[in-house]
Amino acid sequence: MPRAPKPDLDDAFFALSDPTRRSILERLGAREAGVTEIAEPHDMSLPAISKHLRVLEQAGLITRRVEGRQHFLRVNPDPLQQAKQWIEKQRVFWEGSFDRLAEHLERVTAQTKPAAKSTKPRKP
Amino acid sequence: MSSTPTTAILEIVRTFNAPRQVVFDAFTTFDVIKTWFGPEKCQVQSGTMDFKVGGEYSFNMLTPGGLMTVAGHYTDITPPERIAFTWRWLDDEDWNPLHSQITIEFREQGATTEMRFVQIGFPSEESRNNHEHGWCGSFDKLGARC
Repeated sequence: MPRAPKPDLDDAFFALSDPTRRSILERLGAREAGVTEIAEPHDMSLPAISKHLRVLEQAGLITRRVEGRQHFLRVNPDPLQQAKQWIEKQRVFWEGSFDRLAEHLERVTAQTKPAAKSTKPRKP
Repeated sequence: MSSTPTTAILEIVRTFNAPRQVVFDAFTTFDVIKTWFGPEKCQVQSGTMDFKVGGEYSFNMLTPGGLMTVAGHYTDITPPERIAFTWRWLDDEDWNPLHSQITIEFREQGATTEMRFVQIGFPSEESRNNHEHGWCGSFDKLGARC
């Protein structure tokens, strides 16, 4: 199955850098809401909220449906999933690196402290 | 704890059975880094490394997915406590190039060393300078809904 083009993760990360925008996404959750409803809990003008919504929309984090003069918005989970995948990739890379670093350090310390601890059995 | 940014996209804490200076030294030269850098199936093939603040590094790695390059520059070097650098996959086909910032701190714990690795994502130099790179505070909560 062909995959949808990946949205620009930079845009998604930028959009998520703002607490108001994160709060909008959280409140939206899985449902659809109009601009007035989205603006309600925020101490902000409608144009200011609209600006935030545009940033989220450009990052592909929300989609907009227009019905007459009403605009309805909904979360698009794809960029969040992709951001998670990117982070997971970093985690696998570094965890694996640190496993090998631990082995390297074992070799280095074994060389500097020749066998003092590890080979002599301890007296009970 | 107070230095923990709520904005970290990744945080790893490990305790190594080696003195702090030895752990720190493992990060300071290319000849040593290339022996451990990358997970099991990755191998550093070549690279350059100018270990000083402002100095650049670039590692070419052979991975199951092909040759990949990671690069960046050092933003803080405080021996043997802390190393910070920018981080970017240069030719990762899967993702648009995404800059991030990594800070690794080393704390002495008797004969062992606790290492704390923190990676922060940021979309551009501009936002990094404005300390606006935090995006991830409620990321897990958001992600959980996906």
